[in-house]
Amino acid sequence: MLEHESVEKNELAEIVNRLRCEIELPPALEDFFDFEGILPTTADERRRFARMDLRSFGALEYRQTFPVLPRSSCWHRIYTKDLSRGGLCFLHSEQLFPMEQMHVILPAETVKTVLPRCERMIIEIRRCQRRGPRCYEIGACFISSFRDLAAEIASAS
Amino acid sequence: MIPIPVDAVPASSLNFDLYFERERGAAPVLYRKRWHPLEQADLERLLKRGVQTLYVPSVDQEAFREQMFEEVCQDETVSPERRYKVLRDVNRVVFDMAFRGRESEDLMSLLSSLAPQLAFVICREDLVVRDLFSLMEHDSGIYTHCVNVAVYCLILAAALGMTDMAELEELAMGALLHDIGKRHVQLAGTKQMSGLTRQQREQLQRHPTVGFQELVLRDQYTWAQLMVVYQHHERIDGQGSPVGSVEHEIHPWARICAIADVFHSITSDNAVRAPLTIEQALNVIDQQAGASFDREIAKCWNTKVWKKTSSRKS
Ligand SMILES: [Fe+2]
Ligand SMILES: [Fe+2]
Repeated sequence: MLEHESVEKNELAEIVNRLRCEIELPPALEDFFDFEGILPTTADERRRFARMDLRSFGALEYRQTFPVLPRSSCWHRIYTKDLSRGGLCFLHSEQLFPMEQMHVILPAETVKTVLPRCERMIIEIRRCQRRGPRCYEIGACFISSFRDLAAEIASAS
Repeated sequence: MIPIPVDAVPASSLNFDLYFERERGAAPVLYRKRWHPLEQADLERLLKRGVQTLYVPSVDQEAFREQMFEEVCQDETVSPERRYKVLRDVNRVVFDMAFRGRESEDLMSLLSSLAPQLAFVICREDLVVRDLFSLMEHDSGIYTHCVNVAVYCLILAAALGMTDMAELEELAMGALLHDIGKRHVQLAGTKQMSGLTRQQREQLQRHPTVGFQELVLRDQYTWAQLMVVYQHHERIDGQGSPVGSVEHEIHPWARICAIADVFHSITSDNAVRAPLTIEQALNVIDQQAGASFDREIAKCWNTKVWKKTSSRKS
């Protein structure tokens, strides 16, 4: 596991590159890395921010969010699909569950145009769809800090 | 006879007969004929005499449930504590009803002997009762559906060889809550999918996710129970929702619940279409085995539980 504090900006790309990729792209996604650009916001989507197609790599750090779902803290290589100021869509080799909160590191040069200051972000999972045996498409939104779910749970029960 | 605590009986004109034990341990005798007004003073007198329990005859179960639904759902002056008690009893009765009439089969008689105990344990779980209560307030049809699905899950799990009571209870609780995410969907009056707005349809489709999100923060439910809620609309062939998980990626309890859920939905009366007969419904399960449903679990449901042989060549 890598310590967040010791991770300098210029090391982020290094981390991403070092990670082994466990994603298996299914035939339907073979051309995944073939296109890039700005995605138009369609009329039926109530998106707050325009999405930018971002076919690249990133790193995801697991973190235990729910008491009932053990997650050991470790990094995974992900494929980013698109990005907006509000959130991120990416491919990952495992299923993630709604409301799980994790860290994600995104490649600096592309992110800068969309997210001016930040490269290591906190995300909360919104949706997860299976695209193949080791391929899940995951939608997540950026949040400013991890929620104290333990406290929320304690006050709810 | 269904035992009801005296303090859960509403002081009003009731549409069911009430019985009581004149002496402890004696056979219950008629206390009040239906529609005979019952006053608070009468109930207090009973309590003073040491009578804690009244009985409703099995034939009046439906009437009892209906009136109690009204009692808890429509009267806002009823205190939360009292609503709670009433619901607990109604719940036990609905559960009991769902088990009845299936005692002829060996398996059913085994289960019906477990039923009162199971029902009691489920009703004792405050959290489940509270969640079910809000579901019942929202839509009593969904509530009844959930109780029936829980019963079917128990029957099917037992037929598959699950014998551990704690495990059966855990499954039943998960199944009772499987549609809990629907309580946020405002369906007022519209039962047909075609009559729903796009927003309602989307909300309805999201109910497994919404239910999961709500329960996972409670720290009260096990992962298996959460998977019953989250995965009960997944299909073995990956065409289900919300994830499109396949085969063993779907928790076995969710695979059990999927069959129980569809079976109850297609055999019960709703505004969308006429209910299928048991025979027709078993054919649907058979045809969808290996596509929507786990083949082995579907086979167990049809052949072991309902003693139906497959019409398909495997
Ligand atoms: Fe459902
Ligand atoms: Fe259901």
